[in-house]
Amino acid sequence: MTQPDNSENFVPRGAIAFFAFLIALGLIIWFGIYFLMLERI
Amino acid sequence: MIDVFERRIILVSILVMGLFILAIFYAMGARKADVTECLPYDKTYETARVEQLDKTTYQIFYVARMWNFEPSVAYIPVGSEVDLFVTSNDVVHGFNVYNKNVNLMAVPGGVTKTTVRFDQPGVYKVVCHEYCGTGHQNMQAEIIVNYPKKQ
Ligand SMILES: [Cu+2]
Repeated sequence: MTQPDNSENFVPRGAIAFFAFLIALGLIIWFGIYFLMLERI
Repeated sequence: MIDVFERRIILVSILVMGLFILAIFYAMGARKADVTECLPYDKTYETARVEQLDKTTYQIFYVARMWNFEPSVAYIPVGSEVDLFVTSNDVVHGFNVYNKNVNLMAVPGGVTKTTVRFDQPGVYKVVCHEYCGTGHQNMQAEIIVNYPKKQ
Protein backbone atom coordinates (compact mmCIF):
# COMPACT_ATOMS: atom_id res chain seq x y z
CA MET A 1 0.00 0.00 0.00
CA THR A 2 1.50 3.32 -1.05
CA GLN A 3 0.49 6.74 0.14
CA PRO A 4 0.75 9.94 -1.91
CA ASP A 5 3.88 11.85 -0.97
CA ASN A 6 2.70 15.30 0.11
CA SER A 7 5.41 15.97 2.73
CA GLU A 8 6.50 18.97 0.64
CA ASN A 9 3.47 21.08 1.63
CA PHE A 10 2.87 19.70 5.10
CA VAL A 11 1.47 22.25 7.60
CA PRO A 12 1.49 21.25 11.28
CA ARG A 13 -1.97 22.64 12.03
CA GLY A 14 -2.41 20.79 15.30
CA ALA A 15 0.97 21.94 16.63
CA ILE A 16 0.24 25.55 15.59
CA ALA A 17 -3.16 25.50 17.32
CA PHE A 18 -1.64 24.00 20.46
CA PHE A 19 1.18 26.56 20.49
CA ALA A 20 -1.26 29.44 20.00
CA PHE A 21 -3.33 28.08 22.89
CA LEU A 22 -0.27 27.92 25.16
CA ILE A 23 0.79 31.47 24.26
CA ALA A 24 -2.74 32.80 24.90
CA LEU A 25 -2.96 30.97 28.23
CA GLY A 26 0.45 32.30 29.28
CA LEU A 27 -0.54 35.87 28.35
CA ILE A 28 -3.86 35.65 30.22
CA ILE A 29 -2.27 34.28 33.42
CA TRP A 30 0.75 36.61 33.33
CA PHE A 31 -1.16 39.82 32.56
CA GLY A 32 -3.97 38.83 34.95
CA ILE A 33 -1.49 38.93 37.81
CA TYR A 34 0.33 41.93 36.33
CA PHE A 35 -2.74 44.20 36.22
CA LEU A 36 -3.77 43.04 39.71
CA MET A 37 -0.32 44.19 40.87
CA LEU A 38 -0.70 47.57 39.10
CA GLU A 39 -4.08 48.12 40.79
CA ARG A 40 -2.52 47.58 44.21
CA ILE A 41 0.31 50.10 43.87
CA MET B 1 18.45 24.52 8.06
CA ILE B 2 15.79 25.29 10.65
CA ASP B 3 12.20 24.51 9.75
CA VAL B 4 10.09 27.54 8.83
CA PHE B 5 7.42 26.72 11.44
CA GLU B 6 10.04 26.26 14.15
CA ARG B 7 11.49 29.64 13.24
CA ARG B 8 8.08 31.30 13.55
CA ILE B 9 7.49 29.68 16.94
CA ILE B 10 10.86 30.91 18.25
CA LEU B 11 10.10 34.41 16.90
CA VAL B 12 6.68 34.55 18.59
CA SER B 13 8.21 33.32 21.87
CA ILE B 14 10.87 36.04 21.78
CA LEU B 15 8.22 38.70 21.03
CA VAL B 16 6.05 37.58 23.96
CA MET B 17 9.06 37.57 26.32
CA GLY B 18 9.92 41.07 25.08
CA LEU B 19 6.35 42.15 25.82
CA PHE B 20 6.70 40.85 29.40
CA ILE B 21 9.98 42.71 29.89
CA LEU B 22 8.51 45.97 28.48
CA ALA B 23 5.50 45.59 30.82
CA ILE B 24 7.87 45.22 33.79
CA PHE B 25 9.77 48.37 32.78
CA TYR B 26 6.46 50.23 32.37
CA ALA B 27 5.41 49.24 35.91
CA MET B 28 8.79 50.23 37.36
CA GLY B 29 9.17 53.47 35.40
CA ALA B 30 5.84 55.08 34.56
CA ARG B 31 3.83 53.54 37.41
CA LYS B 32 6.66 53.62 39.98
CA ALA B 33 6.15 50.07 41.25
CA ASP B 34 8.59 49.70 44.13
CA VAL B 35 11.26 47.06 43.85
CA THR B 36 11.93 45.29 47.13
CA GLU B 37 15.43 45.69 48.52
CA CYS B 38 17.56 43.66 50.92
CA LEU B 39 19.48 46.02 53.20
CA PRO B 40 22.66 45.37 55.17
CA TYR B 41 21.66 44.23 58.63
CA ASP B 42 22.40 45.97 61.89
CA LYS B 43 21.07 45.74 65.44
CA THR B 44 18.91 48.88 65.20
CA TYR B 45 16.39 47.01 63.04
CA GLU B 46 15.56 44.77 66.03
CA THR B 47 13.78 47.72 67.69
CA ALA B 48 10.20 47.81 66.42
CA ARG B 49 9.01 51.38 65.93
CA VAL B 50 7.12 53.88 63.78
CA GLU B 51 8.99 57.01 62.77
CA GLN B 52 7.65 60.11 61.08
CA LEU B 53 10.07 61.78 58.70
CA ASP B 54 7.76 64.58 57.58
CA LYS B 55 4.05 65.26 57.15
CA THR B 56 3.43 62.48 54.66
CA THR B 57 6.47 60.24 55.02
CA TYR B 58 6.67 57.47 57.59
CA GLN B 59 8.95 54.58 58.34
CA ILE B 60 7.73 51.43 60.09
CA PHE B 61 10.34 49.04 61.44
CA TYR B 62 8.68 45.64 61.87
CA VAL B 63 10.05 42.79 63.95
CA ALA B 64 8.42 39.43 63.26
CA ARG B 65 8.55 36.61 65.76
CA MET B 66 6.56 33.51 66.69
CA TRP B 67 3.72 34.51 66.43
CA ASN B 68 3.18 38.21 66.07
CA PHE B 69 4.45 41.34 64.42
CA GLU B 70 5.64 44.36 66.28
CA PRO B 71 4.26 47.06 66.03
CA SER B 72 0.98 45.14 65.91
CA VAL B 73 -0.98 48.31 65.14
CA ALA B 74 0.38 51.33 63.28
CA TYR B 75 -1.56 54.53 62.58
CA ILE B 76 -0.76 56.35 59.36
CA PRO B 77 -2.56 59.39 57.91
CA VAL B 78 -4.18 58.91 54.53
CA GLY B 79 -2.00 59.87 51.56
CA SER B 80 1.24 58.90 53.28
CA GLU B 81 4.24 57.22 51.77
CA VAL B 82 5.52 54.54 54.10
CA ASP B 83 8.87 52.74 54.07
CA LEU B 84 8.51 49.27 55.52
CA PHE B 85 11.57 47.57 57.03
CA VAL B 86 11.02 43.98 58.07
CA THR B 87 13.25 41.63 60.03
CA SER B 88 12.72 38.52 62.18
CA ASN B 89 13.75 37.47 65.67
CA ASP B 90 13.57 33.72 65.21
CA VAL B 91 12.58 31.92 62.01
CA VAL B 92 11.65 33.01 58.49
CA HIS B 93 8.25 34.70 58.37
CA GLY B 94 6.23 36.22 55.58
CA PHE B 95 4.93 39.78 55.40
CA ASN B 96 1.95 40.44 53.18
CA VAL B 97 -0.22 43.58 53.25
CA TYR B 98 -3.76 42.82 52.11
CA ASN B 99 -4.74 44.55 48.86
CA LYS B 100 -1.35 46.22 48.52
CA ASN B 101 1.63 45.46 46.35
CA VAL B 102 3.66 44.31 49.36
CA ASN B 103 5.02 40.78 49.66
CA LEU B 104 8.16 40.48 51.78
CA MET B 105 10.10 37.85 53.66
CA ALA B 106 11.10 38.47 57.28
CA VAL B 107 14.48 36.77 57.58
CA PRO B 108 16.50 36.55 60.82
CA GLY B 109 19.72 38.47 60.31
CA GLY B 110 18.34 40.23 57.24
CA VAL B 111 16.32 43.35 56.44
CA THR B 112 13.86 43.65 53.57
CA LYS B 113 12.53 47.04 52.57
CA THR B 114 9.77 48.32 50.37
CA THR B 115 7.84 51.58 49.99
CA VAL B 116 4.09 51.80 49.75
CA ARG B 117 1.58 54.65 49.41
CA PHE B 118 -1.72 54.58 51.27
CA ASP B 119 -4.20 56.75 49.35
CA GLN B 120 -7.35 55.07 50.66
CA PRO B 121 -8.32 55.12 54.34
CA GLY B 122 -9.00 51.77 55.96
CA VAL B 123 -7.63 48.93 58.04
CA TYR B 124 -4.93 47.09 56.14
CA LYS B 125 -4.32 43.59 57.47
CA VAL B 126 -0.77 42.30 57.56
CA VAL B 127 -0.42 38.52 57.59
CA CYS B 128 2.42 36.07 57.83
CA HIS B 129 2.30 33.98 54.68
CA GLU B 130 5.25 31.68 55.37
CA TYR B 131 4.42 28.73 57.61
CA CYS B 132 6.31 29.35 60.87
CA GLY B 133 4.86 27.01 63.51
CA THR B 134 1.70 26.16 65.39
CA GLY B 135 0.59 29.79 65.86
CA HIS B 136 1.14 30.76 62.22
CA GLN B 137 -2.55 31.22 61.37
CA ASN B 138 -2.93 33.87 64.11
CA MET B 139 0.15 35.86 63.13
CA GLN B 140 -1.07 39.21 61.90
CA ALA B 141 -0.92 42.97 62.40
CA GLU B 142 -2.81 46.04 61.25
CA ILE B 143 -1.92 49.25 59.50
CA ILE B 144 -4.72 51.71 60.17
CA VAL B 145 -4.87 54.46 57.57
CA ASN B 146 -7.02 57.30 58.84
CA TYR B 147 -7.65 60.95 58.25
CA PRO B 148 -5.32 63.21 60.20
CA LYS B 149 -6.67 64.61 63.46
CA LYS B 150 -8.45 67.95 63.18
CA GLN B 151 -6.79 70.58 65.35
CU1 LIG C 1 5.16 33.81 60.93
